[in-house]
Amino acid sequence: MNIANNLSFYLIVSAVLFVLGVIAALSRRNTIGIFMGVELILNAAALNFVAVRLLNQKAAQSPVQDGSLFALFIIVLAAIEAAVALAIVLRVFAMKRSIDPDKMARLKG
Amino acid sequence: MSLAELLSDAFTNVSGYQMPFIVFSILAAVVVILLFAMPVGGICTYLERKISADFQERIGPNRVGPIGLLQFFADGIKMFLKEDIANKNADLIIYNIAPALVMAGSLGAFAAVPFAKYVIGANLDIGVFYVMAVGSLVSLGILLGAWSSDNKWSLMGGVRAAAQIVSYEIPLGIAVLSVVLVSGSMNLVDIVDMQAWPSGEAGHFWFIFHNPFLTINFFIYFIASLAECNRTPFDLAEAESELVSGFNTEFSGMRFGLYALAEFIDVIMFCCVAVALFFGGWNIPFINLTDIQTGWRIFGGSADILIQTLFMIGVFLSKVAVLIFIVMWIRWTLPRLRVDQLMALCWKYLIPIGLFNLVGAAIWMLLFHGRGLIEIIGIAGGHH
Amino acid sequence: MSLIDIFALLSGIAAVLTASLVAFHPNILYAAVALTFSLMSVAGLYAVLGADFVAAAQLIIYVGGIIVVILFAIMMSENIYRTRFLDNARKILLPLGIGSVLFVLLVKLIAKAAVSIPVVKDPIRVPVSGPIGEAFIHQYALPFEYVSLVLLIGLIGAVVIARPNYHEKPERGGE
Repeated sequence: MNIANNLSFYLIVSAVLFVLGVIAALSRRNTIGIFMGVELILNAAALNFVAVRLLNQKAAQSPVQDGSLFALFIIVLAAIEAAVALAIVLRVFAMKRSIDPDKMARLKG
Repeated sequence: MSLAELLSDAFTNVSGYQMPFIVFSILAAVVVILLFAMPVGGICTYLERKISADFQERIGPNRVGPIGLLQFFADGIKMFLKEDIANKNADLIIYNIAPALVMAGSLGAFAAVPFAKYVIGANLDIGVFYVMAVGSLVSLGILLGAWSSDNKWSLMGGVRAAAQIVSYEIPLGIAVLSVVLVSGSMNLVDIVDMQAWPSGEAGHFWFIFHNPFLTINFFIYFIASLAECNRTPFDLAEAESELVSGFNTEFSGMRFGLYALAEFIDVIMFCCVAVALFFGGWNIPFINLTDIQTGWRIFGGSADILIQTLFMIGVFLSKVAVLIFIVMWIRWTLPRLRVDQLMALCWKYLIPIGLFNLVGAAIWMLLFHGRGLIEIIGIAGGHH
Repeated sequence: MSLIDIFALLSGIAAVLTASLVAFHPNILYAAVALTFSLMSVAGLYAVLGADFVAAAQLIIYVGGIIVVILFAIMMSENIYRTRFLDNARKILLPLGIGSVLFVLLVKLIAKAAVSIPVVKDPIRVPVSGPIGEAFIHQYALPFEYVSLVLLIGLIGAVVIARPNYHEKPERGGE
């Protein structure tokens, strides 16, 4: 058994993370819950980049840092997303006393 | 060494021929964590009480053992025997996880601390970055513990602690980054090796004397690390006069013990990293410890490496001890900051000054081709 | 199975289990804690894949930053000690259906790829932190600057959005 060098293992883990993220983002009736689902989706994508760079024969010919670079950019963009999304959550809560996404239907506060 | 190599090496060493290495690394982990971090954390609590007593012209603990030396032992036994109480409405799962997270964050960082050239848990390529990454578990543990204990003082303390730790990670990171910029490596052993006394091409001497920008950045590192460990003047998270005991109010017995010990272990860890980054680790002026040649033999081999290692550990730990003393000195001298002063210090002073020094250090590296002050002035001599 | 395989397997299982807690646990604070452990397990997988720098960055940015901010947001909105989701069973069925269809499709795709696309048998894990630094100042300099610009704009935007406006009154009880 060779798991650490098995590309399918990483792809399946990342597929499960992605699907669970989608389920969380669709089913939660709480903005922060949706946001956590999105974080899972982003992580699944980043894991794929790193795993494929190391283990796919064609990708292995690209520069060594490429997979890590994509993952790093994803992590940084997730950080920005966290800052903005949670600022919006706090603002909406201050206005509506609720962070249920169904109650955010009005565009003008 | 990368983390993946560490994992695969550990196995080949079990199955293959290099048994002594795995024995050595397990021993190193046990020595570092159980025989170093824990007792030294305990001794620090004793020293803290003794030093505070000195500052306040009291005697301090003096009953258990000679001059009260065994006091920390008695404290530890008391912690273990105390009844473990949890608040009725406490969230027990998170309440139990939180102290462990804090402890994991403080102890895990020791894996990459270089006590001597060959005495290091894991000689990682990303050494100093790993230390900071593992250390970030502490803020999470404090916030969760505070929330789960169902007490408004805890919650206030926890929120304060998390905000403070997240903010002060930025100046801390900038100060560490300036050292990484000068040394060109994140491996702590490499960084320490570069700070040897200059002889020939190698060695830049301690980075705190490398250039004025790094000198100022050391102070930024030191102030930020005080805030990271919630030490006075930044102990708003457990401000006794306002919040009872802050985030650990509801914790009792060994759970409280873990929080209290983790704080001291954090202090030790930050002092160790400060010594490795700015004070040359095991390097001392005028002599290179690796040049010690006695010719003595032990177990049929040369005893030189053993003697050198012992010297290195001694030098490293004495520098750490001096820094820890300064931390305690500050604690019993300065008053506590207000929350707005705390944030103003971080965002208005430490971060801009740190960024300026980072750019300054980069320009210094360009202008003087990476040479430090000591080399430029030429005290060291051996440049020919 | 060598130690690194065991570590990879454990990290993968832990990532999946904790991620399912993120998706299904009724208490939002538990979901956030589970998300922490899920992200830490993914960091473990990065370490197995030889991407040390990404693993440490994942820990320092997610655990030290994003999760703490999420916890703040949870504690500052809603009732601080009643962190239940407003979930109901009716709403989870459709997402579950979509999710399972998606999962079946993805697994089929992976199974197809596993037999047809050549993989590296014995990958060499080289240290990447040096090359990452080189790339950020050479061929990836523009994306790097661009991301830092986005970060700056995002931070300013977050401050502007979150700053309280004392002139407007909160709508009591929502709509």
